[in-house]
Order: sequence, then structure tokens, then C-alpha cells
Amino acid sequence: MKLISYRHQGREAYGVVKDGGIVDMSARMDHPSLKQAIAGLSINEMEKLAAAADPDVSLDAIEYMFPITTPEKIFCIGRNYRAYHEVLEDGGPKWPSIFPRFASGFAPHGEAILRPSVSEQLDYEGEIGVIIGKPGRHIPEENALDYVAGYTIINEGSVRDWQTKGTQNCPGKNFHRSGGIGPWMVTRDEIADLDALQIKTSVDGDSRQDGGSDMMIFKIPFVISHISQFTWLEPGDMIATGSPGGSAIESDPPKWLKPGESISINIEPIGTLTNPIAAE
Amino acid sequence: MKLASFSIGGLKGFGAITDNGVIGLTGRLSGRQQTLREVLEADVLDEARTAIEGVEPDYPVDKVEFLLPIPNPEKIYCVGQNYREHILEMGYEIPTSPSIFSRYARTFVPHNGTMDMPSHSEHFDYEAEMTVVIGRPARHVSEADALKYVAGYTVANDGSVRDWQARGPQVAPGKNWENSGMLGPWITTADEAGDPANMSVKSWVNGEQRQEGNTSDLVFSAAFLVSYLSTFITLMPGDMITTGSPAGVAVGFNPPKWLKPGDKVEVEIGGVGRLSAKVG
Repeated sequence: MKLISYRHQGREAYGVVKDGGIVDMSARMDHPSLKQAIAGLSINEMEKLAAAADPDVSLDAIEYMFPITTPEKIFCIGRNYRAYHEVLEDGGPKWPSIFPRFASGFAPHGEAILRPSVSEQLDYEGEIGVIIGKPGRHIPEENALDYVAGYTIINEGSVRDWQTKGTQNCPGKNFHRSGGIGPWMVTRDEIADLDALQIKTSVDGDSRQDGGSDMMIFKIPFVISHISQFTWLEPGDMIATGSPGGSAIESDPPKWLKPGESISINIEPIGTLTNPIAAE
Repeated sequence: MKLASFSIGGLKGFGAITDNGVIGLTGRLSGRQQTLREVLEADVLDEARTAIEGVEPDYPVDKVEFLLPIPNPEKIYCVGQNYREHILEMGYEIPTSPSIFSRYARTFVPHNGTMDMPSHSEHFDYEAEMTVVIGRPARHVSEADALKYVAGYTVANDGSVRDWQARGPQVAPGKNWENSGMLGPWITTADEAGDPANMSVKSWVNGEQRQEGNTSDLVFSAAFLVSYLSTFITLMPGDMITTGSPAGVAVGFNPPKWLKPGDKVEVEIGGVGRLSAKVG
């Protein structure tokens, strides 16, 4: 099942994607937002309600919002994919690279990602986004997926020269609307094998990333368990799980994103996240 | 004026802290603001000033339970390695760009609160920091204009779990432990706090003084940091910037004087306030 948050005729709503449209759940349930619906363990109820209803609104008629409109936390994992046949030095990194981002660093599906006025080095990173479904702390790796509500697509957009100005990458990872999240989330049951997802990024139709999630170094259950050692994970929190090779910076010369281009990240069975690039 | 968020009798609100007690302001301003963040968003500090003039306090300070000064900030940015003397003492070069990272609000406890001793680490440290509270949306503001966007100042302990800070290339895991830092007790408005480039910064553990510095020693001043951060993100009312910590942290002693359960940590910023909490 695909769950979406959206705006229609000025009203914020959430629902189930069905037959090119949306069955409006906010009109049928008491929860004011998808985050609260998930926290209220109402995924099964939404499935039943959606099965018995026709779409209320077409996908063409809405403005997309982040699937979780106000996530408390977005943790990102850096350098988490190896190349095919690559043997990592000393068996690979001991710990994942983890950094937080705020929602204001992203644009929803369909809205512009902004190329900053102070830098030309706007890059993309196509990533599987995990959405947490229930509160957890000190989560054992073997139970970690029980805490997942579903998955979305994250373009963990980065401004490369600002990533290396200080000792921390934060400035380059926090530019206003430099990434994307969406278009919706698929519930956990839709993905049987987390190692069998293919992340495909294209810019104006030109393929840039095409990597399999089997190349992930720190797997999703480990990452959830590891983060939950230091903080509570709450419903609606997101984890961007790292990006395969093919970012702009890896080309010579780098293929930085430019205003007027359009970037799409496809991960089946989630869908495709598309954003135009505009000048700030 | 000193403005604090607190709960009393189970009700959350905000008010002014005076020498004689607390004047409750929740819902009392013309815009009926329910939170301090809403007051900053509405830019009505002058109205609050007028509202408390000649007014008798509603309750003694020891009757309120302090909350984080802004309980629900959108963003908190922190600066590392920012005191000149401390950097030189450690044998580092003076940086040309600040080291920026972020924390989520839930990693801080309010005044008189109890920090959580990390469950998987003994390397629990304190960092006394002068903290900027943003009053108006700020994007691409110059250093010369930056302080016009500051509502006031508060006090932080940027509490850190040192071994987790070194797990991976980014410090975030060691800086985002649940309830590992302190923030408060109140916001002292900019007109009353004095010059942010000349504030004393001190900390004590169980009454033993550990840190003593002055913001005049900052490599990157409050005004510079507001300007710098506004290059990549819109700073919003209620956002906070912790500006770094002088010498004297636990890891600097041989052997390190790590915090232990039962310890009392106090941080004082001259002209702003004194913040206190325990380790649980």
C-alpha cells in the first residue's frame, strides 16, 4: 500500500494511493496527519477503508507534501555503498557515518530543488528512506524491521564545496531545499527483500546512478539498532540509508545539477521521485 | 527581560522571570500566543515588555517547572572548536571555517532537569556554551546586520559522549544522545544581555569550577555565525546556535573527569543566566 500526504484545494490531507488517485483517509479517520495515523497503528485500518472506496481525488490534482510532513528527526548515513566487486580496506569502516538533517533541507515531489546562489556544486544522492512506525530505543538488530512503517525515496542533495569547509559536513548537507523526499511511502509489507532494490537516478533522462541495495555496507536493521542506542526513534522519523556510486562529483568534470534540469530517482516498488532544479 | 517556558499545575506556558517571581504571559498578549516560539514568530517582544511593566508576579520562581526555553525549535546548530586559546592549547590551527553540526531538541534537558547517563559509555562530558536565540527569519544576512535577527541569548551545556563522537567521521552520534545536554533556564533578550562578544562563560561540576572563558575569545563570533548559517538555510524564530566551549572539559584532564550519575552540572553565561541540572 502506498500512503501519501498532500494538499488539495488548499487543504492538507493524507490518504492511500489507488488507481491513479487517492482515497482520502484524513476524511475517514480521526488522526490529523499520516504521522499520527502510523503512530496510532492504523495502517491495517487504512488498507480496509481504501479497499472499500473509490479514489476521491486524482494524483494530477494535488500538490505533494513530504510523506511525513513534519518529521522530528532525519538521520542520514554517508558512504554506505561499496562498488560491485570492491573489496573494502581493512574489512571496511567499523562505524557508519551518521549526520542529521532538518526537513527544511528538502523539497517535496514535484517542487524545485534549489541550486544555491553561493555554489555551483549541487549534487544528488538517490537513497532508500526508512520511515519509523513505532517508538523504539535500544532496538535489537534482529527485531529492527518491526519498527519500520515503510519506505520512501530520498534525494540526499549535497552542496559539495560547503561539505568540506569545516570539520563537519553539516553546512553542505543543510542547504535550503537542496534535496527531495517523496513522492509517498510504501508500507513495509511491499518490500520482501531489502537487498534486492535497485536505485536508479537520472537527470533529464540521462542515467547517473544504477546501484543495488545489496551493496549497502551497514544494512538497514543494523542502522536502526545503532541509532536507537543513542536516541529514541519516533513514528515518522526517517533514515536516509546512503547512496550508490554515480553522484555528480564522481564525473570528470563533475556533472553538477543546473537550473532547468530535472532529476528523477526510481526505486521499485516505491516509485519515482522527480524534482526540477531551479536557481535559488 | 527574561522569558522562560515552563509548566505549572500540569499546564504548559511561558512568562517573564523577574526578581520577585514569574509573570505568566500565556494567552495574555493580544495575539493570544500559547508558546514562546509563537511570540518570537509574531515579533511581539515589545508588547511583552509593556505587558509586564508594573505587574505583580503570579507565582514564585521555585513553583514553576522549567521547560526548554523554546520547547519545539525547528533547528539547533552547534559550533565546535571555537575558542582561540583552547584551540592553540590543543595544538590545532585556527580554523578558517567554523565546524558546524546539529542537535535535536530532545537531546537537551531543561533547567533543574536530569540528564541521562549514557547506557553504553562512560565518556560523558560537558561543554558550557553561550547560545544565540533567533528572533526573525534570517537568510543571506550580513555580519553587520546579523544581530538584528537575534531575539536574545540562553545558556547551553552541549553535552557530549566522546567515544561515540569518534565513531564515524561525523560527530553527530556523540552529540545526539537522548537527554545528554542542557538548555535554559530562560532567554535573556538582546537589549538586556549586553554585548555577545563580551560574555563570561563558566561551568562547575559539583561546585568545582571547570571552565572559565569569555566570548571575546571566539574565533567565529555570534554575528559571524548568524550570517554564515544564513548563507545556507533560513534561520527561523526560535532556532538556536550554541557557539562553542572554552577549555576545561572533562576529556582535557588526565585522567578525564567524566560525568557520573549524581553529579550536578552548572553553566553560567554573564548577563544571561545560570543553568543547572543533574546526571541521573
